[in-house]
Amino acid sequence: MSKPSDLVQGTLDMLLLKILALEPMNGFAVSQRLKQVSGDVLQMSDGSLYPALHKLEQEGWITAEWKTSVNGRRAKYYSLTRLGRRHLEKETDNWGRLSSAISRVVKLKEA
Amino acid sequence: MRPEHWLYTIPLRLRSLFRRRQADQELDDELRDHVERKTEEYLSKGMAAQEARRQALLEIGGVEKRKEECRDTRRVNWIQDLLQDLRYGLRMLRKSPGFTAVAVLSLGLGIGATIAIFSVMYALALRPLPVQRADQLVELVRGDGGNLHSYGEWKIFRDRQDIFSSVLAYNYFDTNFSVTAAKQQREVSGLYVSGDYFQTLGIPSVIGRAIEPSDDQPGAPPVCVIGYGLWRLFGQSRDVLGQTILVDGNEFRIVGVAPRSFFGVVIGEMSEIFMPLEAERTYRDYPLLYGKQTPPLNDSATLLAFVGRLKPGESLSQANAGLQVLAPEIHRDLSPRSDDTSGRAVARASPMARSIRSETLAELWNETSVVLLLMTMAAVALIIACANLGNLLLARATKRQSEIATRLALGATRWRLVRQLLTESVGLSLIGAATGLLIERWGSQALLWALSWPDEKISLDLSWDTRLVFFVVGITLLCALLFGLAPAIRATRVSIYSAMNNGVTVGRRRDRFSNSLVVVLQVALSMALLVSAGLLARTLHALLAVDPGYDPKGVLVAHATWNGAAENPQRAAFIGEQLLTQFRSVPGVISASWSRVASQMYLAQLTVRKPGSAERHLGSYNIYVSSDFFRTRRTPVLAGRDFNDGDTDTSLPVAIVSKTLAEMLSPGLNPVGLRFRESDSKTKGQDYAVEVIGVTADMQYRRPDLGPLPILYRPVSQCASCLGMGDYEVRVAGAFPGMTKRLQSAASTVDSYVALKCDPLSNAFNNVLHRNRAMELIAMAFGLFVSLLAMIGVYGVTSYATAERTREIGIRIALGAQRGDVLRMLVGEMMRVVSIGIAFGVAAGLAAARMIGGMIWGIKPTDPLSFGFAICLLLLIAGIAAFLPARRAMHVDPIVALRYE
Repeated sequence: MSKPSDLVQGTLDMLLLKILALEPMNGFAVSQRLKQVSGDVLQMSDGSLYPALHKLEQEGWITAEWKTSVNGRRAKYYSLTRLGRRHLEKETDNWGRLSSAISRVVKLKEA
Repeated sequence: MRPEHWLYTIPLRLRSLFRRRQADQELDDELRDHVERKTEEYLSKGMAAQEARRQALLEIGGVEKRKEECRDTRRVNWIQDLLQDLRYGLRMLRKSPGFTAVAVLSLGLGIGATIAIFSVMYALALRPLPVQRADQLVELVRGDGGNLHSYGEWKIFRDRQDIFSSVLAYNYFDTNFSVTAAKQQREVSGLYVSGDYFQTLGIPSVIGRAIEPSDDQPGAPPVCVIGYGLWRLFGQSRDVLGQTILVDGNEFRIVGVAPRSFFGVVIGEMSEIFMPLEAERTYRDYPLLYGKQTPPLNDSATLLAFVGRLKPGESLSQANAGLQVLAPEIHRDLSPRSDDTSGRAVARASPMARSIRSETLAELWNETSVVLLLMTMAAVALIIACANLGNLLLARATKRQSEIATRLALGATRWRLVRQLLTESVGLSLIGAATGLLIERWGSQALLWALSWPDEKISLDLSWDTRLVFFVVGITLLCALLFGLAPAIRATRVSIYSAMNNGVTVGRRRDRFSNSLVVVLQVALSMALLVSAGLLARTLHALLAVDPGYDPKGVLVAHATWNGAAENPQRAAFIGEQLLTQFRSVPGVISASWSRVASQMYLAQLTVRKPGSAERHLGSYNIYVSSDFFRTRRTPVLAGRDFNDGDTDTSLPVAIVSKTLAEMLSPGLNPVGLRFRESDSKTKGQDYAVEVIGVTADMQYRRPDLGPLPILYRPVSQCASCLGMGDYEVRVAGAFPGMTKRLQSAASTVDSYVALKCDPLSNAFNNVLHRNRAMELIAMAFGLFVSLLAMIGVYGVTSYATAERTREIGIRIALGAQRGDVLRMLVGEMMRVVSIGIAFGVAAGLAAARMIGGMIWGIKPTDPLSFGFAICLLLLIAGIAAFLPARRAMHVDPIVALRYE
């Protein structure tokens, strides 16, 4: 299990938003999904997950709702807002440009 | 921020603010839920129940901390935090009432004094005039520098001028009028103003209308505008409009009320009634020159000040250029005689943004030492109060270390704690400022009293305006920072281990050093103030010791007035003479005399010529006296003779000179027999008609440190314009109240309408030194207050130091040291610090003496008595302040001390 890479906070936010873009879910599910989709490469410590989610909520990019799940459990479900969706698109674009730039540099042939 | 953003975030923020408990509960539920799910996951992976739970909790890393972090993301936190900190701070303050009382009192006094002094200085110098666009107003002065003009000039100037958008004139010498309305009579200060006074200044009336040009015409019905304060006194109702009141016995109709903030254009005076100039000309009280007619238009009396408002965009030099052209025209119209070379025409405009005029104020402003001293005292009081508080807070912070350490462990950031401690300081500062505001109201009145002369009060507009408010808020926050920041930072620099163990806190050397530094600072500053107070006290003593040239004890000054003096000057003169005769025959009266100061405002000129050399002009102050004047005052006649009954209006004109004037007239020689010519009297044109017949000792008419005035005495029988009543000086052998009654009944036998006011002569003598006395009182009060604060500081530091060293003291005593020795050691250490402070204080005292140099007289600035007084006082109270807490420590049982954690 590799250690979580250092992620710029903005990138982390982007990941969380993306996951929530797929479907509304609660905090626990978000961290599970992140781990699962990235093949255990990207793990967020539980401790930093919730403050990050709360911050996204304060920015207005996600909104939360308390729902009772199938087995009678009450949980807080986060979903993406329209504002958040727009922010996500913008961040995804930025990330794309950044990563291709990095790839270009890395792929330079050594002399 | 786009609008839709707000749509999402506002409900959230409101919720965080107002439904805080619910939000917190949800946060708790959310995290709890997460931990449960994690635990389930581990359980499903096969971990034991307890292990699974522990693992889940570990991964979240401290539920409380996470909750705090989530809460931190809430944007409205700072409001909540602020309120919470304030509430907490208030609770802490309530728990230690002693500390709170001391802190609030010392802060209150320091802040209050600062605000009082600042508001007075602000009103004196910085506050804008209560008019529109004061920067456009200019005062017009004459070519010879004088700023007064005659009525004739005003008429011509007003009609001819084109330079200013509008001009106004007002009667420069503010006068007291006796205003009678609805059976109440008051003395108020008032002004005669031109018709466009209010329009030019841009002052609207509160009710009714202002004085208009139509009111300022000959024959117009007399109207007046009253001030806001006067309106309040008369009931503050609209019915006051149209009412007729009596001003000095003449009827005026009220047409309007001036706004509250308007007091005229002269800072330092508060005008309460405004009347048209034409009314002034009608009612002017010069019965001898004009009888009951209106004075002619080219009457040369210069009484008016002119003010003009520049046209928009016009500069001062443009206005002056225009005046250069206009002035000769006016001059020509006024006096067609070409040989009249008095530089009387309006010649120059100078800016009038500040018209500090009242002599009291102008003189005060020139005495920069007074101003500096006041401001320094306020600053020093504030600094010392804050230093004290800083020290006290530091000591308290040490006691709170375990609390702070716990909070740090629970996840608070250091910045958060510093913020909390600072908020507590701000809260304390606010309470102190509130107390200070209470003190300030009283303090600024006291300050005005101190700065005015007893008979010439300075009235200033001390009301609040935005700048003052900003200043107050700024000072409060500055104080909070000054005394709160260092302790806050120091207190949170805590190592969790040592604090949680409540461990033996050995006093760190750096702490002790900074404590001592604060004590040194306080002692030095206190010393500076005490030295200043001592120097001022000694100066006062020296001033009082100067021989005034007469004996004021036992002399009453009776001021007589008779209402009919204007109409019937012959009778007034007769009454005047009769009063003197009557007074002389009252039992208990040793002698009585009469005097009239003829030229109080300016020097009269006299011309003298020595045989064989050119004419010399000298200035003198002239006083007309009856015979017995010098005898009543017990002033020695040094050469020649006193006036006697042989000096009448038909005999040789004679004069007596004071010693200073004698020196000026004929240096080194006896001036008796010298002849001179007065420059502005009926004897003009006659050659050197007045002969000097005697020389008297100098009499002090103003502050002794300003030196004696050159005074010329002439007999009243030889003064043409001195008829009527004036001031009588009566030397009596009995108690003043009883003698006053006798004099008053004697006066009423002459004429029942004569009013007599009696005052001891020593009052006049003392009033001259009023300001010295007042400043000395203030300096002494400040000095003592500041010393008291310093002593509280010493007490606090000593008890803190001794508390820290309890263990060490216990060990020493257990090892056999005498309690007395330990006491001596503790007190000695503190006194050593105090002595260093005193050493610095001597330097500070010398600097202070230099700064108030203008106020010291008759003693050296290094006066050893003052310094000695300050040093002894400080040593004494420092000794007591150090002794008390040390003594308490002595009674500790060494076993208890050793066990003390």
